[in-house]
Amino acid sequence: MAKLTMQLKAKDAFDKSVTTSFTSVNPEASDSDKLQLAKAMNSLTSNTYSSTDLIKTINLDTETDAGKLTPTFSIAHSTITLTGQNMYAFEGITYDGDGKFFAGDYSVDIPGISLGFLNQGGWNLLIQAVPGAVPCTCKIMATETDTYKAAEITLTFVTT
Amino acid sequence: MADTLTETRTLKVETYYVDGDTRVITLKNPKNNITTQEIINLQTMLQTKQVLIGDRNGAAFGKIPKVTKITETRANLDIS
Repeated sequence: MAKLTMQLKAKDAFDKSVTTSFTSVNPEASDSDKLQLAKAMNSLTSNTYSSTDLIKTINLDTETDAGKLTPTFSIAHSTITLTGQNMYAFEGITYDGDGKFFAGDYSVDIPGISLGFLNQGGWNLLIQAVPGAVPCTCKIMATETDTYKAAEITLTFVTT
Repeated sequence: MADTLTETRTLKVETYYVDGDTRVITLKNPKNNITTQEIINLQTMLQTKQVLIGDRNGAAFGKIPKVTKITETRANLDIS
């Protein structure tokens, strides 16, 4: 079984770079579990880890860098029903990366729907639809960062 | 000129796998107030998530049998 090496880089109290290596990382472990382990180990130290510090996962068999982590990115309900009147609603978002969100790629030109993002006890999608909003699809996207790959979710708006 | 003193602190977290394999994870700059509960929480997380596996045959993580904090003080003696 191919095992992986994982490295966490952090800064010490003198702003010097500190690297912790973890050998024999389970290749079937999820990226978020790997990150959670690295952060838990780092919390035993006085080193500071910020989201811009890179965790690299390297396949020991091929020595190639497996690249950035894939974030967990999901939404409570990806099909949302438009009621035909002014609508203002929240949908819970699950996201463990450090990217920024934006909404776009609407399937119609004038959907009559506005989307925003609110961080209150976790991320939420704000949906505002005006009367006459039409069925359509769009995407919400999380940007790529130094540590995480980009991710996207397709939202579908339907009428009753 | 006086002797030059430097102090380095290291935490050695020993990990044990069900095939008998043991491995040590070395962390630099351990904080002063590591609690037993923090180590227990870490052990529980490693047991549940199985992020680390045995070197020889991918055996499951077992437990953290020992954690050692080492403080090393070096004195570069002034021999001028």
